[in-house]
Amino acid sequence: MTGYVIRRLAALVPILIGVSVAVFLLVRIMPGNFAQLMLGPNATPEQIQSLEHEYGLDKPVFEQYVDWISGVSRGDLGRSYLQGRGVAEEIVSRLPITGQLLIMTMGTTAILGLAIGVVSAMNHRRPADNLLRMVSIIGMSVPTFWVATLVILLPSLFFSYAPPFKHVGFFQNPWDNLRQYGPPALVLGFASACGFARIVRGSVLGVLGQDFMRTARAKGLSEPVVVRRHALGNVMLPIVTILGLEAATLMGGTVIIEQVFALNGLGRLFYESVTMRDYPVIQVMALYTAVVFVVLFLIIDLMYAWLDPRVRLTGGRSA
Amino acid sequence: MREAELTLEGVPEAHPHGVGWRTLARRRMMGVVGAAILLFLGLVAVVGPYLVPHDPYSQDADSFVRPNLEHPFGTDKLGRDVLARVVYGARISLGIGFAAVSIGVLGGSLLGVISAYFGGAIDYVSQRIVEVILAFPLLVLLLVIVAAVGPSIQNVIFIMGIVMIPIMSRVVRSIVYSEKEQPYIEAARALGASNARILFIHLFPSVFPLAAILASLTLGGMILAEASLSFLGLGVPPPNPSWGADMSGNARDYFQHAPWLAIFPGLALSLTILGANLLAESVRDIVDPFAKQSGPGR
Repeated sequence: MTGYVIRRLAALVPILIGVSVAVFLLVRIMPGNFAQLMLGPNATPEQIQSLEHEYGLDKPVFEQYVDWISGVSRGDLGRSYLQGRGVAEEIVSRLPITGQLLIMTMGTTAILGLAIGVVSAMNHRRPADNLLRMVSIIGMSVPTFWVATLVILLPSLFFSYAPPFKHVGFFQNPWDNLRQYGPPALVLGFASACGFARIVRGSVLGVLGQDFMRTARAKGLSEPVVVRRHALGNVMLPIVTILGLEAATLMGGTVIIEQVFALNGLGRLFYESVTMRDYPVIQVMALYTAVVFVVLFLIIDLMYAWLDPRVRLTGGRSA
Repeated sequence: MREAELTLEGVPEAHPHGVGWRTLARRRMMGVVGAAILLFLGLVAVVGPYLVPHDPYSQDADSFVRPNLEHPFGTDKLGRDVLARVVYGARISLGIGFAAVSIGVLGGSLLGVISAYFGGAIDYVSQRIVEVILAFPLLVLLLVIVAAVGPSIQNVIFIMGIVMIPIMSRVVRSIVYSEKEQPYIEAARALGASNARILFIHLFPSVFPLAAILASLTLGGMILAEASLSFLGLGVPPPNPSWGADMSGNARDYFQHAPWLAIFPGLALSLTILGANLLAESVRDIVDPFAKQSGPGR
């Protein structure tokens, strides 16, 4: 096991280096440079040059990369061009918004996904299962930005209802805060719950067919107890890891949902930085999401290696 | 497992009592409904533009006409017929989806076959590159690349196709690994066939059909990705009729006043993705090698 862990950790190094180079280069090949966008169409070449010089954009690309990556590894994430302050500071200021959104979304995903998946599996191939499967396919198919649009539009059309316009913290006014965060969290949570429910259903079905389930029933346990103790107990680990993965992929979802619901969180920050060529912010956020992704995958693979010795011996699934 | 999780969504299907005919009928049912929806939309995309009386670009009508006989889906701010835009939008949406999937499956099969067949350094390097690409969430990656090369229909197709290549190459690579040990490959080698011949005459054709079927499972995701990009203003640029783009930006200011602008493109988009996903669901049950495996792997 130790050898396997070391091998996997060592394999992480080239990936992370590759990711950081990819992030850096991608951002550099963006046309329409930042200085031009910042100064407007009437800027003289001299003005652009001096601004580029100020931000070190006139140095060779390799040197810029080394400067950046050594800064990042020391914890210096650089300065945002656009917001005029440190990238770390900017991210920290937006974190509570996306944090609350993600927590509420993940809560929705976990509760709805588990409920749909377990009920579906327990009624395997009966009408309830078919109905729930249909619901989850529909939920996965309808784009979140459309559902979100309707969730805002319909109440305002029919009841002239609108959530509070200005952002409210939870401790300032919990009710107004929930009116702001509830709808986006439910929309995003339902969409990811639908994908999650399918995995829960599959895992529970896999366990329900095992011998020990029959034994549990044979010793006279009631069906709910059998499912709760013996089935769910056995699938919890994979299910929780999938939930973690779901959280990582939500990073993409928050970009859209924060845009629609006008929440000033990390997703919005990323989107604004991309459209405004705010290199330092894009680099750090892209690097961060990639690292979270890679590390999560690694944790999951290690977990399976720990559970299933065969994976260790063969080197496991690549990646 | 990664490719399965991200796109093909291999879900273990337990069949403790084998597959009954009713299950089969139900699965077929889903596939049939999905195929019917896609066929209908395909028809709309191909012949629809000749049937709608208005041009999707012409601004002849009044602004914000409510849905009526002349304009069944109403008109937008510029006086363009929404029905015409939705119908032309089918062309763009399905076209981009299919084109991106084709690039992905062709490129992915090539890369997968070569990488698995030669192994060694080629395999190692290409797999590390694949891992770097797979390290990013799909939408984040697409956003950054589109922002880098600029939004246009061709670019969106290309980028989505290229992003799909690593995912597909993973799948193909695993198929080739078992395929290349088959006796017919050995026979070909014994007959003195060159590597190129074995690759392109023997391995590629035998792997490609399965790869293409597996790739088709991602069609819904690709269409959704295009719509999301366009919705964020980084996909199909205006004035092209794109379902995602027609619901974004300035149009949003008028939804209150003209809700049909939000409803019809969204319905069309949801129906398309639903059709693709229904079809994928039943295809996956039949062919997906990942779905048949159970155990803790996924």
